[in-house]
Amino acid sequence: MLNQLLFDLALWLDAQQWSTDLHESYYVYNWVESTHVLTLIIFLGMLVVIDLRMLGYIFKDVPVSKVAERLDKPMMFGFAVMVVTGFLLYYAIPVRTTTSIWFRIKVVLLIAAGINALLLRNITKQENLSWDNDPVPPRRVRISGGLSIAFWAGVIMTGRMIAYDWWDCHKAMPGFMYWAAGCVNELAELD
Amino acid sequence: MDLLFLFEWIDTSMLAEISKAYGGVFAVVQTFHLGAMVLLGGMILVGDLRLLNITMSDIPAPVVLKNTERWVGYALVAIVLSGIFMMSAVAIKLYYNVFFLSKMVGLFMGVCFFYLIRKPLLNGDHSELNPWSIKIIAVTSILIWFSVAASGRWIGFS
Amino acid sequence: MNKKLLERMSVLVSVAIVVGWGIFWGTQVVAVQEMLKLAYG
Repeated sequence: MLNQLLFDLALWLDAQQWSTDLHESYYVYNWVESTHVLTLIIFLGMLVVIDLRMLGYIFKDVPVSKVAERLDKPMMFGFAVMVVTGFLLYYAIPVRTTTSIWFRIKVVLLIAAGINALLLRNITKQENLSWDNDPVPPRRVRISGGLSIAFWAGVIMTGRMIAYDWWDCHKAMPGFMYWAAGCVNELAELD
Repeated sequence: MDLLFLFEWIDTSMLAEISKAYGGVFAVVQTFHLGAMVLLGGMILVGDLRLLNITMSDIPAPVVLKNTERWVGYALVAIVLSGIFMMSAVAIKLYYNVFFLSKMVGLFMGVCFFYLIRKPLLNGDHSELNPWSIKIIAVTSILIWFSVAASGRWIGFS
Repeated sequence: MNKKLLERMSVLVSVAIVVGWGIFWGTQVVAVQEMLKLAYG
């Protein structure tokens, strides 16, 4: 049912003229995509420095909260650009993206990374962290930092894989894959 | 100097047999290349933003530069190795691609600029330096590396 | 090399790169954009 809902949403977006214009544009789509990929450097570049501090591999003489706080603004600026360009990329090619297994895994990883980041943010925003000045933070913080890097690496990988058509809906796949990717028309044909 | 022979050699190497045959492996290596780009770009950017006083202004600039430069080295190794793998798959096409040439020139400039100018001049004390010199170097660094990253993406468009 | 000399050289090289490389790279991007327009126009 969720698959049908998402597919209908994608069809509705696809029917809009701006969606077609964006997809078929000479320059704009390329610039949006390039901006999305390059802004990774700003967003995840700052984040990886914070995560490496969480793991105790960098800026060991600087308090963890200070590193996180100082890099927060550029990181959030990068995040805002990623969200806007990301939405535009989805909007340009909504049906294929919605039924892309890679995109779906990417969304799951984004949510996981977001939850992890929020939990970590809540910890580091506390006053008088006992371990703030420790060169190597406690285990739970290190695990969170490591998970963050892993989740975001996954986001990069799945994001790149969206362009490959190995598991596009028109390909022959096991029935389970049609369901996982939300290939509504192919699922209907199987019945 | 015509480097076509070099590209032809890479194009027919054993590495090229692997990179051309397995699209999945190529894709994974490219992801690795992107991750290395994030690490490289991020570490350089943090340093340059500090030099421009945009971020981490209460941490001494030499401390920021010193902490990030080790990771720049690791990222460069990763990015060059993954780059060579990918290049072997499409060597002849790259030979004729102006953005690939741009990227290599930019990469060479970027590495030289980092190790021969930015590092020796700015690793020590900044008090004797003109603040504008520092800012010009930071801006130049950002511009060079931006052109490398953008050229990389534009290889695909041209 | 003394620091003052390195500083001056660094600034000169930087300005040369920003201007020279900036112009070259910019013209390449414009050239490819025009080519895309011709190819798909």
